[in-house]
Amino acid sequence: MDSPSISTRIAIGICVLSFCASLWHVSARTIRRMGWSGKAVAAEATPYKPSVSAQPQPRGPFSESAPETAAATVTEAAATETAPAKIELHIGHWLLHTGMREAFDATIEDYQRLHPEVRITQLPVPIRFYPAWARTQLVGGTAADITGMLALNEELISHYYLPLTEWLDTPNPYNAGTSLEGVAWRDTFFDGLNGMRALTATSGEISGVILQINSLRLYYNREMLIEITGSDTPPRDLADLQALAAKVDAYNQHSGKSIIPIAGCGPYAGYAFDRIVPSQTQRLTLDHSPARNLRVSPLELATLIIDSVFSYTKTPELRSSLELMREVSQLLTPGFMQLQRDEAIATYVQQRSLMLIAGSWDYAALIDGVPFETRALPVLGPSTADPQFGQFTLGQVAEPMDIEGSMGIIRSSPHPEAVLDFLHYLTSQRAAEKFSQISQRLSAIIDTPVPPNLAQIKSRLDGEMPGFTVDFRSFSTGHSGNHFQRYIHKIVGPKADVSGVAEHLDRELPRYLRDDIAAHLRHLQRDIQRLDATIALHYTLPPEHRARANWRRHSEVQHLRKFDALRYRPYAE
Amino acid sequence: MLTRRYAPTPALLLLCVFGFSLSATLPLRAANELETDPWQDALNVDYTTASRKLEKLHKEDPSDTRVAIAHAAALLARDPVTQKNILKARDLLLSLVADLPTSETRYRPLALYLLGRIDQDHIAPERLDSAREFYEQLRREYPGHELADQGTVQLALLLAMQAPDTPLEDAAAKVETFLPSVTADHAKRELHSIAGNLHWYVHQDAQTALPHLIAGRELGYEAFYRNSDVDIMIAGLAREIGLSELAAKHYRRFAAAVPRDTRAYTALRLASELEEQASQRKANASSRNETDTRSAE
Repeated sequence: MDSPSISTRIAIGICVLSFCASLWHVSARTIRRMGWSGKAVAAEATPYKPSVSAQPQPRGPFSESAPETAAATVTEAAATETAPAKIELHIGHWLLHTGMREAFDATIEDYQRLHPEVRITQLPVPIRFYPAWARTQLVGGTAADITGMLALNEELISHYYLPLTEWLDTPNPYNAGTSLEGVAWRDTFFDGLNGMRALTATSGEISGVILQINSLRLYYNREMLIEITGSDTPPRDLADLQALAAKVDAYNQHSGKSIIPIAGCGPYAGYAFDRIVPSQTQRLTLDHSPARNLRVSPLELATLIIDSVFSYTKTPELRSSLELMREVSQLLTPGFMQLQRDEAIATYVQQRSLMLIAGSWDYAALIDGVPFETRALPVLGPSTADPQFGQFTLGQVAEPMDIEGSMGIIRSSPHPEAVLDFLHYLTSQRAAEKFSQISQRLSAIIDTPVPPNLAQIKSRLDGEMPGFTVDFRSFSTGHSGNHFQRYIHKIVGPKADVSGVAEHLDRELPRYLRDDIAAHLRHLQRDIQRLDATIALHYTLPPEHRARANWRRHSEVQHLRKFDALRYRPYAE
Repeated sequence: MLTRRYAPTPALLLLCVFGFSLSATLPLRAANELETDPWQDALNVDYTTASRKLEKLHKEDPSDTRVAIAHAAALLARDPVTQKNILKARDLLLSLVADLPTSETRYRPLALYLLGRIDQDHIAPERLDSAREFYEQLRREYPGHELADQGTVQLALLLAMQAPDTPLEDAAAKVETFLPSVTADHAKRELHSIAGNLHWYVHQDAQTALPHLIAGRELGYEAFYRNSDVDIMIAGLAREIGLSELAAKHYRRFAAAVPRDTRAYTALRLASELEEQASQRKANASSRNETDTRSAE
């Protein structure tokens, strides 16, 4: 008898593995849908459609009468068991930075003390894998009840997340007895959740909440600063930083040490350039922004360069932007472009650098068990008095407030009421205060007491409008940004040739800009086409449907897109 | 024990594997799709699922006009987007226009509007003359209808900016000619916005652009942040031509609406400076008047 060939064995092996995978996939979805009650629920697994008339009653602070759905579910499941059944909830997120998991743990513990029938588990996933993980979970129907929204697009959010809009106009019950009692849940967030609404602009729904506000900071080692300069007076602007770097150099020569002025890495240097370099185009923006709206978008800048209105060689502000990138890079770790965040942080905490540019999300790691005091400053740019860079600037740039920790309830959660209640708790003022203290990050909930040491990581809005960056890092499909990055080593590296780069960009960049504009216009056209379906489908909703009137808003957006598509069409031809 | 004689070929085994895996998930997907309303799918931005369901519903009852027109609309956004689906939608809409009486004012105008849109922006190559005819038919047969007004806005964009050999210098004036023919506020504000922007971007004529932008702003926009976007543009253009008080008013409106925008601080500073300038000018003018009066006496 012949034994099976190698290929047959391999095929059989694949067959078995695939069978098992299919079985798992089907089972997971079925179990998910059946929930804990053992009863099959609707395939979309949200037995729970938001309706104006049937708002779920908040569960806490704990009322005598427990909500019907969760209690009934628990009761049925417990009928034949000796111990009380738990409502199992899961939170999927990427927030692995120091202090975050601990803050979640503490909040979960407090909540579970109030609601012993609920058990909540974190599913933390490293940030570099998170977007792929989240998409796979959502599409596969196995996503956590609360799933973080990092890098998710509008389609995914609209399809898989429960809109929260309906509950946002009512107060968060867990704010009773605080300064936010009676305030609509939406208005307890620093931006009114406008940032979240922008994620799903087509529907206009808000499908998630935010936990925190981020900023970019220049951190410094206070003891080392005293040792090097004899004073703990921090630098105030770029000129002070450059003077401080000279003192670091003198200290190194005297002491034999090799202290770096500012620990840097590729990704964070990009953020730093985004903050500092626009100082050179503030005045230009003030007087010459095409729409006179104190802003020059990458698309507008692209057309200005193509039309030779702006030039890297002939427009002093653009040339100065490249020079400023060079000057800032001299303060950073040699070879920083090849380094990553962990390396920059290690350099700082090991006291091989005086300062560090990093996020407010890194602050907890910088004070956790390190033997020196860390203080924080805004990322410093040139002042108006700067001899080289002051002529083009209006002064310190206003800092954006970036949102962090966007989370929502997935539609297929078997316990949407319980999840909503936990979200209420998580974003209540008391819970937010404790979360902020443990995580050492700023809460997105207004009026949350800020621990004294965290005031220094708060974004400063009292600054002049930023100008624009000149590297096209975030423009369209990235043709021009990538081309710029190919030459950045000639700006920030040891063999700099800023003049040569400027000439090269003037010569070569326009064709990449046209490619990016063409891609942008294709995207716009796709939007315009899709909006016709949106408009018509909204128009054909029943007259009393609350979303029907949105057809006019979608028409307005379509006209804006159409105007832009026609206006910029010549640049793509 | 498998023998060479009886062992299935690897290809056959793999086919069975994929067939099983796929078949296990297909019923789940099919069951999934039937359970939600296609309009709900559209609200969830899932046009492809909405289109599949509407196709099924339309087959079951071709006489349902609402389903028919929704089916045609969904075909325009169904993935993958194909000219075949676009033409299918077009044919369906043409039938509706032909079959429905002119007295039908709910779906027939929508069908005409969508036909204009298809010929303007979906079909390749674009059929601008045909699109124009559909919009003009819509305006002629349904004067004052909200969709006729929307068709007017699209027609204005088509004639002013999209039609070949259209000199952009005349675009703003062309758009202005349509203003008297629309009744709905949402159409008026769009035409004002387009005209105002054309006067500015093509001619750098802030003086002529401003009344349009202000008129649109007073009617009020619905898209998120649009009102504040228009406010700061009005402020900037007003500042450009020395209308200090107008500029200050709109800079303050902008800062109040979006206090956390990184431009808000600068907007408020400019507002203060412009108000100071305006106040100074008034004081100087008043002082000059007094001097003139005394001289006259």
